[in-house]
Parts: sequence; C-alpha cells; structure tokens
Amino acid sequence: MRLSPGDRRRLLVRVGLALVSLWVALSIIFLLFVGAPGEFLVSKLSNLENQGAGQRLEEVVGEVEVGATTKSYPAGSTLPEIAEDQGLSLTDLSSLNPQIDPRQPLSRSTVIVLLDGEWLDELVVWNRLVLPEDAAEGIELLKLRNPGITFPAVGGREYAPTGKTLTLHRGISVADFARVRRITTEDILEVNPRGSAGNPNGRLHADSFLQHGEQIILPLTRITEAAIRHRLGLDRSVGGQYMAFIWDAVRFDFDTSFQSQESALGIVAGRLAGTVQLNLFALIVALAIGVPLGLLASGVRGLRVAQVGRLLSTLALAAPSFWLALLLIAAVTPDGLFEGGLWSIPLTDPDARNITDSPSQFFKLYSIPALSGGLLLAGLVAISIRRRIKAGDGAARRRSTILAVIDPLRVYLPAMIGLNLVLEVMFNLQGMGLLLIQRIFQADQPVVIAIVAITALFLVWSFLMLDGARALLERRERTA
Amino acid sequence: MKAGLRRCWLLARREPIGSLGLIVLLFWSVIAIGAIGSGGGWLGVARYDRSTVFQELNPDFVYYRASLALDGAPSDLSRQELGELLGDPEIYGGLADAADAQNLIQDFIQPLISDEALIAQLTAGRQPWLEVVDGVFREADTGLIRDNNRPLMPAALKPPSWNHWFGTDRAGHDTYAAVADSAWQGWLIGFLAALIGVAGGAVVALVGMLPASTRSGPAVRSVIKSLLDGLAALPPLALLLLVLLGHAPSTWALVLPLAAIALPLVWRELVEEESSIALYRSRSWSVRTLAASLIRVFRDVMILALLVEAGISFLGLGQTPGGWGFMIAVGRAWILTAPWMTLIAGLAFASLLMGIYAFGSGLRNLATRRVPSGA
Repeated sequence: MRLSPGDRRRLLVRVGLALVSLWVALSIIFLLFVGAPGEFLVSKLSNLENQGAGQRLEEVVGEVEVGATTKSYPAGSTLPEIAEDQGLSLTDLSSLNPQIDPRQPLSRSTVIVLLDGEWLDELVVWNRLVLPEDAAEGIELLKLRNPGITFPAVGGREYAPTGKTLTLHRGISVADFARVRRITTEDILEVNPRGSAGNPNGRLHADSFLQHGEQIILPLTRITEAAIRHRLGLDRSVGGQYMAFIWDAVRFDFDTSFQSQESALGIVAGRLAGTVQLNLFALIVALAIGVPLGLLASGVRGLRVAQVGRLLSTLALAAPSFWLALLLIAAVTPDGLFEGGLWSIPLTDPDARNITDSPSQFFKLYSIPALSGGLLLAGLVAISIRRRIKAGDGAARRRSTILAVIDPLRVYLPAMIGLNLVLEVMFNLQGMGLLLIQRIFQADQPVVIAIVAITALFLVWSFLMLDGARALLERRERTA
Repeated sequence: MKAGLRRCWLLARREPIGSLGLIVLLFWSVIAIGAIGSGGGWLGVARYDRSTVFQELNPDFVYYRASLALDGAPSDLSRQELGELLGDPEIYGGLADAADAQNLIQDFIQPLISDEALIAQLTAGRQPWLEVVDGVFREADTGLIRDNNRPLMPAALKPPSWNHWFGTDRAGHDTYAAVADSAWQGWLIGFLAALIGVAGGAVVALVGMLPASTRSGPAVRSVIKSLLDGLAALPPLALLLLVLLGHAPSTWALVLPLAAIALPLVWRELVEEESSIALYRSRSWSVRTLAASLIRVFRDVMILALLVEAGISFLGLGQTPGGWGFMIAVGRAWILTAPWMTLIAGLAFASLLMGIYAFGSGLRNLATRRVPSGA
C-alpha cells in the first residue's frame, strides 16, 4: 500500500499523540508508585528486610553427611540381575553385601546396599545446590568445593563415599551478603567493627568470608531505611527522580527485582506468555459469541429471537467473570454437577500452560477462564452491533459490523485485561497478573513498574491500531 | 394524583424492562439504605465482622484446651478459661477449619457444664446465640437480625432456612446480613465513582468543546484525547492495585481511581458520539441527546466500577468488611458442598448490575423519545 503525503502526515501525528499517551501513563505510574507512597514503600521494605536480622547464617553454608543407599527389589530377584539392572559389577555388589549369597534368589525383606555412599547427582538435586537444578554443573561445583575427597564412579555415575562430610556451599563474603540482603556493605561493617567468629582479631572487610553458623549483626532499621531511600532514589529531588524514571522507562531499563537478583524485565518477559494466551483466547471467545449474538439481537431473525439476544447480551455484561468461572468449575469438575465430571482442570500441570506442549491439557485449563473472561466484551460487542444496525447503518452491513466491533474493543480492552488478572490468580496461570499481585504484596517496585509499563505500551499500541483501522474503514465507507 | 399514577403506568408500559430494573434497584436501595448506620440501621442488618475470623489464629491453643477437656479432666479448664473459650469468637474462627469442630465443641463443652446458672452467667450478653434447653447446651438460632454478624461456629455452613434466609458461611456468618451490608458498600462506591467520574469527564469534555468554533479545535481535542488515552492505558484493576499499595483501602482510595477510569468513557460519549460538537453545529443537537448520553455513560461507568471493585474485593484487597467479591472468594472452597454462599452473592451482584443496566437503558429511551402526556 502506498501512502499519500497527507496520510503520512496523519500517521506521524497519530504516532506522536500515542507517545504523548505513553508519557501520561508513565507519569501516572510515577505519581502513584514512586512519588506519593515513597514513605510507605520505605517502611514496608525495611520491615521485610529486617525480618530475621541477626539470625545465624545457616542458609549460607550447608553440610551434608552421606550414608549408604538402599533399595527394594521384588522377592525372587538374584544379585546378578540387580547388578545388571543398576549397571554395577557383580564383584562390587557382592563386596558391599557380603551376607548375601549371589547364587540364591533373594528372600523377602532383604536389604541390598547398592552403594557405599550416595549418588552425587541425587545429592545435588535434593539439596538444590545450583538453581535452576542443573545437575552436571552442581556436581562440578560439589567436586570443586570438596577437593580433599575422591569420588569413585560406578557405571559412569559418581558417588560420595559413606562417612564423609561434604560441604555444599562455601562461605560468602560480606559484600555478597550485603548484596543478598540488599544493604550496603558499609552499613554492615559499621555495626560489626570487631571482626567475626572466623577471624576474631582482625577487622571485617568487604571481602572477608563469613563461616558456617557465624553470627553477625545486621544494621538497624535506621541504617537500612537510609540505604533503601538511596536505592529507591528518594534522596534525590522529585524532579530528578522523575527524569530518571522516564529516562529508565524509555530505555526499558527497569532495574533488578528487589526479591531475586534478576532483571525485572526478564522476569516479566518470562510471564508474558500466560497473559497473552489468556487474553487472546478471551478475545476470540468475545468475537465468536458477541458477533452472532449482536446480529440476533438486532432482529435479523425475528422479534422473539431478538429479545432473547438482548437479554443474553445484558446477562453477559452483568455477571462478574470470576463468579462465572467458579460456577463453570463446579459444573465440569469431578464430584461436580455431572456424574464423574466432564474434565478436571490441570491447575498445576506445567504442560497445560503452553498451547504447544499439550493442546488438550491447554484447552482444559484455559477454556473456562477464556470463556468467562471474554463474556463481558462479548456482551458489549453484541450491544454495539445492535445499536449500529438499529441506527439504520445497514447499507454496508459487513463493514459496519467490523466498525461496531472496533468500538467496544477500543473502550473496554483495558477493562478486560484488567479484570482477567483475577482469573490468572484463580487458575494459577503464571501470567503477569499473578506476578503483579504477588509482587505488590512484596513491594517489589521494579517488577510492578515493568508489568504496568509494558501493559500500557501494549494498550497504547492497540489504541493506535484500532484507531487506524477505524479511520480506514470510515474513509472507505465515505468513498463507497 | 390519579393522573400521576396513570402517567407512571403509561411509562411502565412503554418501558417494561426499565421498570423491572427500577424495581430491582429500589429493592437493593432499600436494603442498602436500611443497612446504613450503627446497629445495622433501621433494617437491623448486622455489620459483617470479618476481623475476628481472618486474624492469625493459634489452633494449637484451642486443641490443647480441647484435648484437656476431652481427656476427662474438667478441672483443668478453669471458669475463666471456659469463659474465654465461650466468649471469644476468635476461637470459634480457629476451630472453623477443623472438619469436626462443631462436634468437638458440643462434646466437650456440654459435659463440662450442667449448671444452667453458670452457663447463663458465662453467656449473658456475650453469646446471644447460645442457650440452654432442658439442660442441653445448644445454638440459639435467633434468626437474621443481630447487632453484629459475628462468626458462629455451631451455625457454620447451614443451608438456607427460615432463620438464615441465605444460609450461613464457613464461620457461621449469616449470608443474608453479609449480602445486605455489601449492598450498601457496592451502591456507595459504584454511585460515587460514577458521579465523580461523569462530573469530571463533563468538565474535561467542556474544555474540549470550548474552542470548537476556532480552527485549533480539532488539534486541542486530539491532544486531550491522547492524554486520556494515557489514563486508559493503565488497566483499571492494575491502577487500583497501585493505589492500594500506597494507601489503606478506604472508600476514597477505591472511588477516586474508579472515577478516573470513567474519564475516557465520558469523553468518548460526550465528544465523539451522538451529543457531539458536530451535532451541535448541525442544530440537530438537543438537551435530550445530551441527557441520554449522560445517562448512558453513567450506567456504563457504574457497571464497570462495580465490576472492578468486586474484582478487588475478590482478591481480598477491598474495604475491610466484606463486599460481594469477597463473599464469592470465601465461598470458593465450598462451591460443591455449600454452594449458596457463592451463588447468592453472585446472583445479588448480577441482579444489581442488570438492574442498573435495564433502568439506565429505559431512562435513556425515555429521554430520547417524547412521552405521551395524560391519556
């Protein structure tokens, strides 16, 4: 399509105005979240971070004692069979189990010792040595941190011999600890002038290691508060804060999360799929129900049908989505309305959260929230179509129906996305809505700002698209 | 007088659905107005007392006491402790989570006290729902109207009956009283939000219309429009969540963001739709079209505000006592065994919304059409 100079100018104006909208949205976020409740955030964060102050640092250093692994096999198995099954040599197995005769089948409740220790990969996974649980990387770390111990291997798998104490984590430095607790290193050093249990004579430095079970004093609220104010940028002037906020948002730099040391944008991007799938699915439902309902209600097929259509579209408007979803759950689940139930909703199945992983599970999980979440918009679409057709706009019916669909979308898309947050929470959909509500309770400012800003960006973009489509259609109608 | 009635009848005949909506609205208004004020207002509808149930409870304490009593050691439970146990609704709340809590209470309190005078003394003024009949200690199901809709364990999860029209919830709150109490809140928040939102939106619209005749009119309007789009780009529920992060949930903390949501809707209705400047210039504009637009947008804003408020209270972030969304959320776990909690709260909410929609539409139709006078 070729744009005339006039069109190009209009397009530029529209994009410019969309940028103004974005700026307004960001300013409102700033006012609500950065400016006004700053004091509230400070007190909330310092409360959160002062919990457990002065506790023993058990989470920092861990030790594990390894024992022998035992396993049950059905009666009648023989030792060679088990050796083969486990990938062990018969001589190894016999030496570990001298009381068992390798030629006899095993009697009931015999305990077989498979290893004189424990598999390293199992240790790693159980103790969550590395997150995410990458067993291979964890084994390497474990070997690295326990250089005095040799780890024998059986069948390609390494194990830790019995009776040894393995160190899982090394001590962490004061600087690392300060980063984890989100306090400045100087604050820790200021309240711990006398050194530590591991190093009682010297002074504590930023890079001195804290040992297992060691106690250090965490800074008082006063100091933490000052650090938090500094981190939130509240010690700057409001104007400076505002400029920094806008400039960060423009560069998509949303800082790292207060909860985990990941970038807020990355966390939000990981949750995008859940929200997009839900709202897209809800939008499809809204159109698939709303358009036929609107045509029915505008009396295309007789008065009686029209009244039913009107009633249905009003009903769709009035029932809150989470209530409908609850009723639908009650209708389909086992021990619900029907004998045996229609299907059970896979609330915790990770495969169900993505349409590509398992379409059947996906539809079991998403159909109810999409239906109940799209119904409000369906009712509005139906009412809008009826209104437009009744206003005598029947000449170019197809085009006018599209216009009638664009209208309510333009106004109520934000409301639908907003109300669908509740459904994400209800159905554990792992989208941005669930994240938003979790992080709001934790006062995780960067993540909350990232979520709202990205939603605002999407909505402004969709306003631009819908306005453009509307303008094009109306022009075509005029020229037709 | 007679002519006035006749006129009303004619109006009702013209707009049957709108009249139905008016009846529904009047019904909820009576309940809402009746529930205003202390002591449950003149309807005597009890305040929904949520604080005592959802506090952090210590079940160990209750089970310790209960096990002492069940072991046949009544002397371990001093008179004062018994009084605490009986008089403290928190403990009922704590027991509410145990499946056999009701039996526990009946099994261990009844054998302990056969002295009617003691029970009367312990329960006087504190436990209006407990009474002694023939030496047996039981729930005095005094019905709907209480000064305080406190959790009442022996009455938990009762299906609708004459005493509890809409049944009771998991802690023994009367569902009817809770619905009525929430009606007042719903009304107040929805109505205030719509009123402030539409008034504010009208002012913005007026600013947009002022330079209508000058050449800069369209430019001014598209700038205002893009400012309002910025407001609209924050989803209503998210906006409210941001506000509630920094402020305690009060009526105003809910009403003002909801009113802000209304501004883009009002702009659209007044400036871009049928009451618009284009119509004003073409002289087909009239006060009637303006009134119709205002009614329509008021109706839409109120419905949207109520929906969003219900969503917030469903998440447990709304105003402290109850709300219909909160009731639905509480009834969630009992949807199969005790569906009346969820069903009735949801139906009440949907009926109010449909009432608003129907009445608004009827009023709007009357505003656009000339009404036949008298005969």
